[in-house]
Amino acid sequence: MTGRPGSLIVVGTGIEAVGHVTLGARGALERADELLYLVPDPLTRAWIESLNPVCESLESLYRPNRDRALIYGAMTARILQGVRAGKRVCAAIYGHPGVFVHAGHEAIRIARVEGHRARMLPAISSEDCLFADLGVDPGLAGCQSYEATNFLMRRRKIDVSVPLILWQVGVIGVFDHSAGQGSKGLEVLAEVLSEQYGAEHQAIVYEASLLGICEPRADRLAIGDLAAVSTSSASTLYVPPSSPAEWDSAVLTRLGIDLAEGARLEAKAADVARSQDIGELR
Amino acid sequence: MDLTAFLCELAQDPILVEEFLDDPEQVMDEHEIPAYLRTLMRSRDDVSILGALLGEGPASA
Repeated sequence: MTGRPGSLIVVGTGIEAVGHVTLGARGALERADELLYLVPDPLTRAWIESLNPVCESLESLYRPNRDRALIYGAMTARILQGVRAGKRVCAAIYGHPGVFVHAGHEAIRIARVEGHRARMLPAISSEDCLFADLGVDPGLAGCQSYEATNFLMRRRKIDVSVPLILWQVGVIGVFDHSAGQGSKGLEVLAEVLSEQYGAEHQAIVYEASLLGICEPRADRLAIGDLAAVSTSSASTLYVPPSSPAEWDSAVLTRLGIDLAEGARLEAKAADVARSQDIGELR
Repeated sequence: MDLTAFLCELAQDPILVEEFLDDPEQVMDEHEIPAYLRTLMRSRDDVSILGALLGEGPASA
C-alpha cells in the first residue's frame, strides 16, 4: 500500500493495430504503475510491452467454453486489485473500452464506489471504422445499432428509413468463447430482415482492417443470402435504408418551415437516402 | 528493419501508408525490409501479416 488512493484509467486501443491509440491513451499506458491489457493482435501487444514494462495481459482469463460473465467478472477483479493496492492502474482494451466491454464499465463503477478516481477515455470502435470506410454519416438519417443476438431475441423494431447496423452477426446465439453457430443464426436473421426489407435488399458484411495498408472487408449481398456468407465475431452487418422517411407536415408548420423549404428538405432527404444506398458505397 | 518496427512506423504515419500503397518496393527498400517479408507485405492481408509477428521480439515505440 502506497498511502495514496489508487486510481484507474480505462483506455481503448481502437481497431487498427497501434494507429488508433490516442495521445491521451498512450500517456496513460506509459505512466501507469500497473498496465493490464487485452488486445488480440501481436503488434499492439508488442507495442504496449515496449511502452511500459509493468504490464500484464488479461488474455489468460479466457478459457474455452467459459461463460462470458465469468470471464468479465474475473477481469474486473484483476483490474481492481492494483487500484485497491494504491496503484495508478491503466486497463487497455481493444476497440472502444466502453463498447462491448462489460469489465471496463464495471471496474470504473466499483472503483468509484470504493472512493477511487476512475475514468474511461473514449476510443475508436468498429462502428466508427464502418462510418469511415462505408461513407455512412449517422447525422443525416440517424442510425439504428444493435448487437445481433439481442436484436433477434428482443424483436427490436426496425425503421427501414434509417441505416441499420448489427454487430457480431457471426456469433448469433453464442454466449461463451467457443466457435460460432455458423449459418443457423444467420438464417434466422435473414428471415427477420427479409420480412422488413425484402429478401433482395442489398446489405454489406463489414470487417474493419487491422492494418492501414490493408483493405476492410465490405462484401455486398442480398439479405436473403445471408446464411450462405462466411462470418466471424468481427463481422458487422450494415443494412442501408430501403425508403426515405416521411415528413411531418404538422411539425413543419409549427416550426415555420414553408412548403418551398419543405420541398428543398424533401430533395435533400432523397439525396441522403441515395447517398446511403448500397449503390454508392465502396 | 524488422517487421514489428516497420508496422509500428506505418501505423503511426498515414502518409507513409500512402507512399507504401503508391510504391511498396521503394518504401520497403528505404526501410531495408528483408526479401522473405516482402511477399507477405505485398499481399496486404492483415491476418497473415500480423500472424507473422508471433515469433518476433518486442516493438520499438
